[in-house]
Amino acid sequence: MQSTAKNEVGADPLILLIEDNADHAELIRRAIAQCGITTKVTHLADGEIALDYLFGSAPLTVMPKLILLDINLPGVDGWQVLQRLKSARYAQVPVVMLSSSSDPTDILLAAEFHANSFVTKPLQLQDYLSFAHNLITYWLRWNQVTPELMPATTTGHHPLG
Amino acid sequence: MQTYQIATVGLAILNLLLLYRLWNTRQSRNTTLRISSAATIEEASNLHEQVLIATGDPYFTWDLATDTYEIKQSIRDFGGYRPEELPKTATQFISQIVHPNDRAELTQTIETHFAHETDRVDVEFRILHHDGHWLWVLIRAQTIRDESGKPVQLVGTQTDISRNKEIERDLRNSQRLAGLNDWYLDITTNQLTIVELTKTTGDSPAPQVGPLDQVIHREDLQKVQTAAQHAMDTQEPFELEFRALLTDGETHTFIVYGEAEIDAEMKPLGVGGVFRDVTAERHSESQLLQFGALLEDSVNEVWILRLRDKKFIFANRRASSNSGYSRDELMTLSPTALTDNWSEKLLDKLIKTLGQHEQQWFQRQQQVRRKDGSLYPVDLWCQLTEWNGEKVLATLLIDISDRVEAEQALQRSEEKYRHMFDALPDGVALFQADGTIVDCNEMLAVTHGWQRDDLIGSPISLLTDPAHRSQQSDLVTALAAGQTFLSEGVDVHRDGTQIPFEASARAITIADQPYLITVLHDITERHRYIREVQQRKEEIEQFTYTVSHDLKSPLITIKGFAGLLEQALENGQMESVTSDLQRINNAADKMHHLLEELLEYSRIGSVSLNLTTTPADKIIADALDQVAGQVHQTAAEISVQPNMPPVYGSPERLAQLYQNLIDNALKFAGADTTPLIQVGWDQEKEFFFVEDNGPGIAPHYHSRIFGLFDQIDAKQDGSGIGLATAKRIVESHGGEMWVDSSSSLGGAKFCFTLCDYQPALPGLEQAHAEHG
Repeated sequence: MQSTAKNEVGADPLILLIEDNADHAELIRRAIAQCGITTKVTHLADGEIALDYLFGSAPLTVMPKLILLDINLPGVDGWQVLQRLKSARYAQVPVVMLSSSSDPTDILLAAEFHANSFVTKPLQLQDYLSFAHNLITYWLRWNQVTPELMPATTTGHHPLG
Repeated sequence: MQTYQIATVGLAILNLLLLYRLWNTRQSRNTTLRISSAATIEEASNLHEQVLIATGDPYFTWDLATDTYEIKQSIRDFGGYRPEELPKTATQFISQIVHPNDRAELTQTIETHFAHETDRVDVEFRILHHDGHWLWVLIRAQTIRDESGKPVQLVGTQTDISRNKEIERDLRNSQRLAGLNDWYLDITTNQLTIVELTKTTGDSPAPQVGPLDQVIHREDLQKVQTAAQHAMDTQEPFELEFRALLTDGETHTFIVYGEAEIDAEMKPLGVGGVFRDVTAERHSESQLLQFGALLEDSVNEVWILRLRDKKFIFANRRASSNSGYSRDELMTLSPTALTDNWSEKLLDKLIKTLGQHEQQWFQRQQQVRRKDGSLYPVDLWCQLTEWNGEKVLATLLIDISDRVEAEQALQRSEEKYRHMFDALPDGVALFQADGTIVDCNEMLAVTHGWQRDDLIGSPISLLTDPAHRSQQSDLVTALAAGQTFLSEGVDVHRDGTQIPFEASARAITIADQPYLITVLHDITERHRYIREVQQRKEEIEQFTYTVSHDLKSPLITIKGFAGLLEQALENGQMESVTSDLQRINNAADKMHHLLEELLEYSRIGSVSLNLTTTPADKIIADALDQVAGQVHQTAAEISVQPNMPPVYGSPERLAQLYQNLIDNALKFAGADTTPLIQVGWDQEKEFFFVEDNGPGIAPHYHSRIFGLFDQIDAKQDGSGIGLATAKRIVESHGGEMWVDSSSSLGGAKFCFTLCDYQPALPGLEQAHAEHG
């Protein structure tokens, strides 16, 4: 209940970006910023830091609305983080997996671990913008969409789960 | 028989008496009567008559001038004829009354007598009795001549000797009883009757009767028929040898004595006579001949040495041809000249030994010297025996050159195959159905850590891994059913190491005994290759992953910020341009660095390297030179253990290995204190290591650290290829690399082995040892 209290209506929604590559994190942050919506993007530089942030002794002040998770992290990798996320209190928070490549094994693994979506990091800036738009218009509202009205697919990406 | 003798003696006495009387009268030793006057003739006739009457036999006179004759019959009946029934002249008498077969002889005898060639006529012939049977008569007569010596009258006695002839036949019968048999060929029926008296113990021997052409041997038939015909034509007795098939089923050889028999009309009835069975004699004769021929023609040498003078008295053809001496030469040759190791003394000793045990053969192998000096091996057999009444040493030499040569060839062949057997790169075992090893080659023993002698007689299960024994019993069963077996299995080395093998096996038969033969091909190497291929495959997969993720990562940065720069240029918002360009530059540099390292990594193992044995100290010194800059920056203390063993491989690659390991250690060592790095060699477990006093690596990361681009610590620089490259260098040198946490400095300890590839097998064993 503590987390619900932190997640009050009207506050800027929190997006967690778990990404070791600082450049990539910056690209995504800027793309989201260009969508014209005020969000709070918290960048966590690797898996260990992310787990510490989410499950560590310091209590989370705001419940994240969306988690963007890179697969290829040094040390504790994206998969390990994903498993922790989906097995505990963040199970209802949509997780979008990020990867440099569209390796079929990775896509299948993402589905298995209940990731909500899988996105291959695009090369074109325009694609970043569409990606960010999609995040804002769909995944940030995930919790308000009733299960019956959930779309089967979403534009341009890979909805999973 | 007694009667016959008395009659003969009686006649002889009478003759002597007559002659004596004549001699007294004429005072002449000449038995021919010469009469000088008619009165004297008359006188002589009367004298004769009186003498002849005294004998009691009929006598006759034959007046040669008139050819008339007169038979004065006495008290005895003669021929059953009354005087008027007889022919008028003597010539008619001969042509009518005398047996046709006897006429010629009778005439001839009388004429010979007339020609003064004999003193008197003394002839036996047959006359036809009045009742139709033939009667044997003996005529003894003398001629009365006139003064000129011309025969005037023949005067003589005429004796019935039929009785004598009967006696003669009795005599023949008794001869028959003494060993002769009776035969008769009836020419009207062509039946041959044979009575074998000698074969019969009873009183009445059963005659064997059969058609001539079936009883007489085919080859002798013509001969018998010709002889029988001739006998009937000439009335002459004959002697003949022929073979006949008797009812006992055996072919017998007979010597027959025969003559023709004719009836009263002079018609031949057949031929008959006595015979002697000479089958056994002929048989032994022919055997004797054959033995002689065998001896002469024997493929073995036959030598007969006379003991008296120790000279050869016989040597067969083979003895001569094999020794090279002519037979004449052999007859003068000393037996000791034929060998190198036989002296007179030895020969005497041998003869003496044999003499004491007469039936005993003496046998030995011996070298015999030919005339040309060459030697040949023989089996020598000898025995004392007799030869033409002399003591001899009969010796048989069997030339065994071929056998000895064959034995040597066999031995050579066996040696050859044994060498091949032992030189085979695969292990071969020959064993019985119960698993007992009968033979095996060196390779089988060596690969399993045994001596060949240890294995022979041991059960083959000794070599089999206990977990795979059931598989082996399957093999034996299948083999016994005649299948050829090809399988993979696992054997066990004497030290317990498993040996994967591929075996082909089948059942074979040697000298009627069933055996199983198996050829074991050690596939440790193959397994190693399979593992290696698997490893390479994993590396390639990882490489692909690396290229798709890590190489794409800078591209994403470059493209993304390039897009932002474009946007900034359009909007004229230039505040972040410099930093964005810096990001693009850095990403491009990172990508360049990655590409360089990937290239370097891919080169390992793909280029044939100059492999040598180099002291480890020198390799490490080279590596330290390369990292001297970083060492200086971090002020690390690096110690190298002295007296490290030399290493075999590419000096450049091994230096790179050490460089990467030291480089890696420098990154992590001594975050808070002085970095310490130890380069050394574990003498006991035989591996090289590089350890540091850094934070170490948690065990669950141990499997990941050697992956391409796997960096455990995101804060550290570097591509992550260094450890992957190090591992790859070690593996390309046949070694293994691992990390453990037992560092005496408290940090990570990277360990590796290197393989000495030079001698093939010890390398293998060392590999096993290292595994263990």
